[in-house]
Amino acid sequence: MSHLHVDSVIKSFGDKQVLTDIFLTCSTGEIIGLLGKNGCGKSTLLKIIFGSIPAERKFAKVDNTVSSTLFRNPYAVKYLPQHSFLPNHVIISTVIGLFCSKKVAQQVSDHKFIRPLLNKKSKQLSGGERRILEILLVVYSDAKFILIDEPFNGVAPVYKDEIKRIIREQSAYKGFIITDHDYRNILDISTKNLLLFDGGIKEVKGLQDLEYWGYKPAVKHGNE
Amino acid sequence: MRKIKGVLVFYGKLLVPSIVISMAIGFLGFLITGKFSFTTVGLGYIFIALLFHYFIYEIRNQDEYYFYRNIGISRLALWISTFAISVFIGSVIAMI
Repeated sequence: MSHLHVDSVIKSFGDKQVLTDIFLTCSTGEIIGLLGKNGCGKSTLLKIIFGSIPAERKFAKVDNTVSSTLFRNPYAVKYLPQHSFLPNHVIISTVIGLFCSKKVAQQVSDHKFIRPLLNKKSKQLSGGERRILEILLVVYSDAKFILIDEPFNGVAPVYKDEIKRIIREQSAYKGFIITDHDYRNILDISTKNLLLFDGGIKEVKGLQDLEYWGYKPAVKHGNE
Repeated sequence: MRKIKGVLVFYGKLLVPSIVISMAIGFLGFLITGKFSFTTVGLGYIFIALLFHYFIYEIRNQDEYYFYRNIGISRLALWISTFAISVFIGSVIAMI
């Protein structure tokens, strides 16, 4: 079993401290749902863990390897940003071959949603098609930990079910940290839920906790 | 090997527009001086390729950097590779 350990994360934008001494661990087999209001620092935290943006302070390690730029080891962490990251000037089969090992590339290429797209360029795909391809690339990758920013945003329900299925399937070998405002789908697949609130992390056990911390409006029982 | 392929795919997006614009600079020089200079085209190519890198990747498609980071290539490494490949191609053009 592998472990991702992140602590002492402090990040400010101007005078505002967005992340205040964040501590977070994830093990293979875990799916952590990271929730929080807009602008609370969810995406920033994922980028800091990945190593693409600096923090005032941070400590991150995968197993016994400490690194401030975890992305340099493609077998440690993969990160899917909120917006499309696919190169749009090459065909999808080239993109898949570049991103994945041979075995994983075959697996992604054979997927029922991807097979018809292999000879197209990413600019010819719809937003939903691009998103499912990106998710398959990172979820099936050889990395031990997968950070995903808003996987359910702008995708059709049929894709959402498939995304949940492959994340559940791959969580047997990998650890996931997923952030999205579609908290129902997050709660559906997560093994642990965290809420970013006021720069810190609160553990969330269910919908009542989300109401208590003001993430979702309180609703009367049976009227949800 | 995957990182080298990644750098080449990244650079591929800059190649055609940089060649077209640097050739246009060469023709402009020809119209002004009456002499076509490959040295001008080569030097122009280096400058134009770096300019395209900035506009295409820093301004328009910043999220694309994440694709390359996921295969282990940092933004700094991509800037260095753009500079190195452009100097190489520019020098080859200048030597014609």
